[in-house]
Amino acid sequence: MNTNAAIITVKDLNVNFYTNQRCNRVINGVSFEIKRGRTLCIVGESGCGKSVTANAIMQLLPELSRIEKGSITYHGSDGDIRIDQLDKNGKEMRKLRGKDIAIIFQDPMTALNPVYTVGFQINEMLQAHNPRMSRKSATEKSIDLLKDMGIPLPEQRVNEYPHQFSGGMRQRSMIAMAMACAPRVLLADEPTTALDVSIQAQIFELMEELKTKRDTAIMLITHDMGVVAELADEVAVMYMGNIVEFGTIEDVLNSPAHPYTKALLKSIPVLGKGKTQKLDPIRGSTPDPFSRPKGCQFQPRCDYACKECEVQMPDETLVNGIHRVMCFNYLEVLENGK
Amino acid sequence: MVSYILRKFLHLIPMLFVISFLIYLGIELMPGDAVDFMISPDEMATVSAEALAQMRSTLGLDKPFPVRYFIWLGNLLRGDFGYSLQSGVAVSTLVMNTLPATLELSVAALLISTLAGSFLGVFSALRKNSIADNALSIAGMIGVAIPQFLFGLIAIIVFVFNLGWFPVGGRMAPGQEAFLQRFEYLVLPAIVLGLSMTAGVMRYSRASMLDSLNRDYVKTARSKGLPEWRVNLVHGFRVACTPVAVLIGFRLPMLIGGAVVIEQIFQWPGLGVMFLGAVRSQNTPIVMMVGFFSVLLVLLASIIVDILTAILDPRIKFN
Amino acid sequence: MSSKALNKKMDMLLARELAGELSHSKKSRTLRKLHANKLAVIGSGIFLVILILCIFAPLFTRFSSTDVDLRNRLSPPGSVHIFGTDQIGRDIWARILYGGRVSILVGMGSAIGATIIGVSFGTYAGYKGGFLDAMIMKTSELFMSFPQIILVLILVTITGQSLWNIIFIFVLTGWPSMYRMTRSQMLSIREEEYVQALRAFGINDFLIAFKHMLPNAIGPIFVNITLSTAMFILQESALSFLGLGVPSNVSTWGNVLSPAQNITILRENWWIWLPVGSVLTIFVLAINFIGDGLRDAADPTQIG
Repeated sequence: MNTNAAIITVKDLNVNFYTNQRCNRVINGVSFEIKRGRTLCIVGESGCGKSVTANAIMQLLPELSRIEKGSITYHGSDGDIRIDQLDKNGKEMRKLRGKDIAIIFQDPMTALNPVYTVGFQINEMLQAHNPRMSRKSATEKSIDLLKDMGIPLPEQRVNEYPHQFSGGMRQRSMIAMAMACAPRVLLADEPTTALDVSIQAQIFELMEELKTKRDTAIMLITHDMGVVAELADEVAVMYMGNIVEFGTIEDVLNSPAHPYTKALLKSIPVLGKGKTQKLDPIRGSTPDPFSRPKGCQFQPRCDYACKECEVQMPDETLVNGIHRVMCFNYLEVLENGK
Repeated sequence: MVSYILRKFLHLIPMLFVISFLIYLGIELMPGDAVDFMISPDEMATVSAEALAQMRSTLGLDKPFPVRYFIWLGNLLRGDFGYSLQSGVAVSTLVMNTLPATLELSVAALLISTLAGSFLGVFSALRKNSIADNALSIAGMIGVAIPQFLFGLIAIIVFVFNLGWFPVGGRMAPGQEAFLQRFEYLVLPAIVLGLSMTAGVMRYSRASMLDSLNRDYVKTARSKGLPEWRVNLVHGFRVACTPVAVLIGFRLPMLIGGAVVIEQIFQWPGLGVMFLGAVRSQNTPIVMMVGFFSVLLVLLASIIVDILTAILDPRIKFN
Repeated sequence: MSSKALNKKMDMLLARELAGELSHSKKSRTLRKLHANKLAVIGSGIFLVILILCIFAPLFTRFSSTDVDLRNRLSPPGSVHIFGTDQIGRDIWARILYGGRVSILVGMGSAIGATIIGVSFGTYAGYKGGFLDAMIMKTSELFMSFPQIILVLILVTITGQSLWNIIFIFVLTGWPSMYRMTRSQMLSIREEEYVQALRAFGINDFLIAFKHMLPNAIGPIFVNITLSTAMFILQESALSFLGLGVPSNVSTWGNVLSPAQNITILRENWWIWLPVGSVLTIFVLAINFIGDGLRDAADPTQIG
């Protein structure tokens, strides 16, 4: 098998939310692949649909929402499975969750059940997928997992409740839980946003280790370009429900082809450049999802906008290799960058 | 945990102190003094004025008000609650005779409302917006709006007169001492009292279940591939339990209040019927002492709720 | 909701959204949500109808609620007495209407009285904290450790039965829950930065608490007023039914119901208790609908 084989393929995914008696088209045709032993980073500002994408893969979308169009295919060891066609909480889906695909949520403070010990919650994961495992051996395995994640005194910690853990330790236990059944794919939904910067580095180190040692495919959702530069193999930049630019880390960071990516990169302060550095915040603000601009979603905030942009959303254009972009004027953008 | 409970009891003392003072104030404010309460009316006729004055001074009734209060408090602690103004029977005897009946009714109603309320509430939450959920919400709203006594009267008409399933009222026929024999007397009042509390418990457990189901840990549980029943019950319901337990604790006073009305309608010979009779005949010692006992019950119940909450929620520590 | 019905609803919303029919409403969000709540609208309707019937009672009945007609005792509903007469020949319909006046007065009056006391204490003490707050808090705890009906009856034995005593007692027993609710609201509002800013400007405490903070807690307060109105109406009816509330010569819904304690009347003369019982229940139900609607409308965390 090809070492870079895709484990999950998402094609033309569309997701709508139907809260407040309105229809919000959160994701409009997103396509990408998650590959073994690689990290795909999805970047974008809040509300652009990053988390929804991850939840769609796990079929964990809220009640008043659905996948409208497109496909999510899991290339399992016994053939392909169309996740989007599975029953939401049915047996097949449940078998994938945790065992093949695991997810880590943003806020470890709320993601663990406050009334059960950490050990109980990891055991639950283990026993759900290994029905014959005894409680004792599950606990032993949990202790090992906690130890692997660098939690001190795991024998004692396993019997403690989440509120007795610090934020960083909770997130590590979440990762321990996620890795319990050695999943082939790990979806991490802003795993460090709620944590201190110093702990952030430790968590990412852990994830990096998983990727190299166990060949886990990782999809990391973040809004932090610094994290992307650090961890990503491939990057997808999302804006208002579209992947506006996709490419390898070099493609996107060194030769951004979409004005949004470019603006994002410009708006980040660089450490050590001193107080005098000029930051360019993106002008305007994210449009209201219920009164979206016509044509290209970024057009009202874009420096490169032209007449065409106000009429229709540009199609995806291949720049080179896997680098693709949704912009009419990408050549100009590329040129300008040099 | 033992020290936790002890501390809770210690916290009660100042509260009970103030309440007993108010109760005493109530007794003092009413016509007549403690001698009238302590000597039964029958005896009173045979006692001379001098003997009464003598008694007042031995009891310290000629002493200033605060001193009298402490004497009264001392009697209270020794189990002397005074005497009924009408019958001359000791209040402690009257309370001991009626308390078991009230406890029996209240506990049965508490069980019914807790079980039915939390079950229906969770069921509603899991079938949110379904026909069953809407029907239950409407039933719950009517349940909250209908006066308890009216509900009781309708139950009597339907189940006693029309269907003849239960005896008319009272707690037992003569000679029926065993619980099983008098069970048929308990069923209807307990169900009426229980159901009138159920609506509130149901609405609350539905809300806290929905709240719990919206939390992240439920999503985590689902992401582990657990079956839905486990996600809903082991994770969703287990957390929703705590607020429901607290609510039920807070509603215990309502249960006792409700028992007063329901006892009257079903002629259930409990504290409530005795209390209403005392209120009607201005029998202050009984009114005040039943008031005192009901507060005591409520405060004890609140300790039990605290302990229960601490057991249910590991975030609350026993120290 | 079944997944099929849900899907259908979503299809409908999608179609309407695509057609551009859905847009932001300009109306106030609270009003819009209240309006969208059908039960609240129905509740307000019923509430107004019953209120108007009671206030303008003389327009809707030619009988008085107190005229005894011993020749027409316990007559069943008919063309003259549409709901019949009671055991001393008083017209039931007239008694329901005039009784409603008193019952609603007791309910609303007590609720408003309890609110004024509870909210003013809660607002000021909740904002200031300290000794005053601790004292009022302890006092409210004291009141709340009594089962309400028992406390009310103890006070009835002390003050005696009369309409105004009942209202007084209800206010006295009802303010603590209002106080606690307002206080908890104030405690969270107190943490907001605009309050710190006002304090830094040196604006006096009364102004900050009542003019700047209280309006932000007004939603839950209104919900509580409606719900306590319902509760007091129920309590009055229970007390009067037991013969311990408003004196029996005054018509109230509870007093009208009171003869149903008699088993014979209960079995044979349904018109004595059923119509008034239904009106009472429906009225309380209507108030609860309004209260629930207000609660949903005031709660920003509710989506829908």
